[in-house]
Amino acid sequence: MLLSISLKMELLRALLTGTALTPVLEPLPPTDLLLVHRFVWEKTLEFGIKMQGRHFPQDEIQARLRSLSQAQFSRGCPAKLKNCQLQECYMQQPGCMRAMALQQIEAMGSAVQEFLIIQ
Amino acid sequence: MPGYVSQDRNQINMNRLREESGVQRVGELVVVGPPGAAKQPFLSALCPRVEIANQDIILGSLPIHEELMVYCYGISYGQGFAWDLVGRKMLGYIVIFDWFDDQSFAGSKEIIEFTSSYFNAPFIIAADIGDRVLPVPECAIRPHIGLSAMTKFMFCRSNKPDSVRKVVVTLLDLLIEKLE
Amino acid sequence: MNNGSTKHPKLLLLDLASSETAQLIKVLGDYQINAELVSDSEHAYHLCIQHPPALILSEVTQENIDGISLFHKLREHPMGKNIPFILLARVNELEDRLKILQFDIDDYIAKPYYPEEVAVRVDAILQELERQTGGLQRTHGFTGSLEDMNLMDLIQTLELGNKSAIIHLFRDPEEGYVYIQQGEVVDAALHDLSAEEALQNLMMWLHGYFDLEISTFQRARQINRSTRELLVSGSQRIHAYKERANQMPPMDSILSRKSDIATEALSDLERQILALLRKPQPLRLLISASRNDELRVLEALQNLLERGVITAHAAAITSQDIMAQNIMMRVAHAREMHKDPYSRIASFFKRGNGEKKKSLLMNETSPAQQQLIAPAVITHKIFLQRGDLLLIRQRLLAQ
Repeated sequence: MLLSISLKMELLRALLTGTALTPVLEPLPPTDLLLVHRFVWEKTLEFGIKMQGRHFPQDEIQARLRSLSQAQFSRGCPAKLKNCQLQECYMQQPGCMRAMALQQIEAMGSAVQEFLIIQ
Repeated sequence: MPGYVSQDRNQINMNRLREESGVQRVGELVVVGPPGAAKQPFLSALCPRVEIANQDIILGSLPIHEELMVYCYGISYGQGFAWDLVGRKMLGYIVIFDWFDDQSFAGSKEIIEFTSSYFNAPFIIAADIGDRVLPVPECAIRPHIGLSAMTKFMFCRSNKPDSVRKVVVTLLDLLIEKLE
Repeated sequence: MNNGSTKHPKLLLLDLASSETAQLIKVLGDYQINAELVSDSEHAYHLCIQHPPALILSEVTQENIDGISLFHKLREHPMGKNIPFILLARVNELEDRLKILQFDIDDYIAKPYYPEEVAVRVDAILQELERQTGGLQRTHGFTGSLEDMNLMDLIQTLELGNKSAIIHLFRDPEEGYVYIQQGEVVDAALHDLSAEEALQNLMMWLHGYFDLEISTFQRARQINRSTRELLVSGSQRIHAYKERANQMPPMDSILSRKSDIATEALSDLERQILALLRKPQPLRLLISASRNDELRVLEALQNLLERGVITAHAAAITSQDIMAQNIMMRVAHAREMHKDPYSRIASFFKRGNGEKKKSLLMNETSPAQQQLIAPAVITHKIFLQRGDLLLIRQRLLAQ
């Protein structure tokens, strides 16, 4: 019950070529999405540190994810929560959680593109 | 030399190799990739002596000293190969594919799904870029990208000996770590 | 000043020999950084003067190791004064924290560390060295987890060192700031709370991350109480918070309100909380969402629970949820157990039983071969010794 190497490879190739991650992610169950989120987060942080130096803060990535959460809320949260918590909503609002996870993973993919200057 | 296809012939031929070369200890590596992946250039860049056993299996030998030899099998996935025998005692394996070819990548994924299900040996995923420009800044992927404790991803130039050696050295490092 | 070879920079690691340092040296090797382990400060000093390394990674204090003394001695010597110096320290020791912030070291890494992260950061420093002409441009600061070092610890340390710093705190999705000038807390920001309320709330963040930057800044003083007073009241509040939290349902419990409630008898805060409970939500989220003094919110919630105005129940659990919870627990547990970030995942990947068998050969498989295929996993055995592998490695590198 963890990400297969072939899936990690697929994700990594998409990150390094700047291609969309959603086609890879759509068939995945919610449990895998959470693991993918973590994997992509770790890789984004790794590329950030490698490209921008040791002081590269996690907030560079977190800020992008937060703004997505805020945008989502402006469209209405099904659970009427004040803050978006991916893992929290896994049980309560799996559909919304899936949409948010996909958006955040794509956002991290875009961040990697910027870091690696992929055209 | 005869092709290394069936398990019996494989074992016989391996013994013959040992007798002929007189080596005491042997290490085996497998370089596997989808059809079209540059296994032969990879082995040629690594091993002083390379023989094409048949169209699907290439054998390279890398002598270390008179008592130690490394054999490298270059195979196309999907062809007859005694995985069950070699898999038990190979040091590790390298999955090589053409980074710029989507079909080659798809083929490599199939290989990885198979090999990682059956073998808990360390392996390197080597994305061959040939003579083309590195697709991302070098510092981003230096020295490699880890995918698990026993799996690393690297770019390589299959026709460049120092690039090929780096891949094998990285595999050896995984092995040494496993032994510790 | 660039010490050592730029192609394969040399790093001096001053620490006791252990599996941790061995792992770090190996990972540094992956980054083409040659690390030499030394376990004695005197010996390290002489090595640095004779053959200056590109960088020094040093434990603070162990047996024959005194990282701080070594740092001072090197800074007084022309051959050693420009060597970048990074301390490895367990930050639970107040004395260590104080030392770290008092001195002009280049960076600090908390123990226990991920070797991969250390290697990436060291490599980045060495890259900076190569790019700059005037020596390493030092910036002071570090990041860490609030579980290791909470805001109270940080403020206390800065106060003792009379330092100025900006502390940026994260507790996803919230973030706050604390401004400290010459050891005194002058301002804090969290949501739209007043400075003191913000500080009080931030002091109670026991989970999350911080990014501390030592720097001077211009900021009007919004908090007038002395740091000592703030620390004393902060620790009292944390104690009260923990006590109250122990009497409450678990933080992931779902709270919901009764349908008909007479609100006249409620306080403003209680009414505000009820307004947030139009739909049931977890206790933890409700506290964050209230954007108020968290201790007061907790008190108000406890009152509402006791009066039956709101109820708490465990989150609805489905079999999928149980599976998800199990997975997340296992991921978290593996993360705790293994230092190598990649082995976290590999550690609980158990092959074997129940796996769907695949044919080892693409086409026909003879019965004899099928018998060999029968075990789902082929046990990997290495028939060469470690020395043989090292020889092969050496041979390849020597070519």
